[in-house]
Amino acid sequence: MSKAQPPWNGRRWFQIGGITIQVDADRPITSQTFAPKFEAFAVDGPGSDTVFIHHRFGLPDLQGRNLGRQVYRKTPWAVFERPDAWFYLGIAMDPDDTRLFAFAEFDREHSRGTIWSPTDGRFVQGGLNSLTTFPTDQIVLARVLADRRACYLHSSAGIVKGAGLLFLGHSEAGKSTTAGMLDGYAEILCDDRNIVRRWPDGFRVHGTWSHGEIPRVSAASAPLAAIFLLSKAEENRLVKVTDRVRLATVLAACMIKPVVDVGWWEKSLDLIETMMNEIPCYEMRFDKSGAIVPALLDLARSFSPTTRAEGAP
Amino acid sequence: MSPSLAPDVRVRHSDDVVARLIEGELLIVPLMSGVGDLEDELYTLNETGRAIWEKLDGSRTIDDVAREMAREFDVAEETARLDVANLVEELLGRKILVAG
Repeated sequence: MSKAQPPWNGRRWFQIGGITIQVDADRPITSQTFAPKFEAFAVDGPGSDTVFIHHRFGLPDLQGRNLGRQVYRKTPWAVFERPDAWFYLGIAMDPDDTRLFAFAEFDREHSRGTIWSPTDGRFVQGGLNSLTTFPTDQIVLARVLADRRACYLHSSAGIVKGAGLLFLGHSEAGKSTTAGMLDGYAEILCDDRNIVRRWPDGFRVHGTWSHGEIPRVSAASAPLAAIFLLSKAEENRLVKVTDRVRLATVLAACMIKPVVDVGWWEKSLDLIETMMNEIPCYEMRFDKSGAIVPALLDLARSFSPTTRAEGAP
Repeated sequence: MSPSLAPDVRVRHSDDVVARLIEGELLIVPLMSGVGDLEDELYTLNETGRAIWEKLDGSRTIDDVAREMAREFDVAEETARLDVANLVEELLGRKILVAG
């Protein structure tokens, strides 16, 4: 190995939701390899809780390989499970096309994975939108998070006066609109996906790199003060949600799923119940005028954010 | 009884769902769906629906369940048969129930 090329070949670390992801590759990783949105999440080294990803190039021969049982098949993925491992196969749209477009092997906990791409072309070209080179990193991280009393939620979020505010809703619900209205009043974490995690001292909301219309993202986190169910209306007011069944349904529907099994859902439903018990929830009835903002700021001020959660980043 | 459902049919809960009781209602989530987020795949059962659900264990026929429901909830057997059959049909369609 030449002295110009360090043994770690440009290893990078990124931290999201309190988890550090160490990325290695069989090709050099440069500052251009991953899209600029990841810069906010870059850290200097591994943390106390680290997930390891290694990129390799040239697909392995799977002939005779025991992949276990197929648990999922829907383009672009077929997923196989073995008692000790998970395998992700990138498959073609055409069911008659048996070519493999990617292959990944993860250990049981998804804490260590190797990802094979057919060539190094995309990797060398750079600007990758995911650390895994998958269409999204969420397929892996959603599973990792469940083991840590955490989940991805389809949401936008911001920090106002130290209080984390989380706005839940599917596409077109107004997540980016809300983030835009809060611009200047809040530190926007992300306008499309955020992580909620139950730390020993309480829930925190963490930003992610999976943004929507607003490309600005933050790796910051804050105590989760309130959850808002987005509801476009011709009025602007906050209504306390007392219907727990409705709330549980919305939370479950907005949760980003990996390839799920019973264990994942049991953990995630436990998390939802804890969240409902500990975090106040409001229906945010709003129009695009921004007239809802003062009510949000008032509410945020009324919270007294707890001290930094133990162990939280 | 729904014309498409024989009274001696037995059904049971699919292995591919998880059910959680919240405030007296049963939230049922499917395992076999797309990766990403759920849209209309969640299902909730109220107290009556939950009582039917708990009896659909593969050991009773639809008719057995309807008779028990009629007795426990003090409704006409024919009404109970129709309600049970409608619910079972819907849950079979959603693959929340499977043939017992």
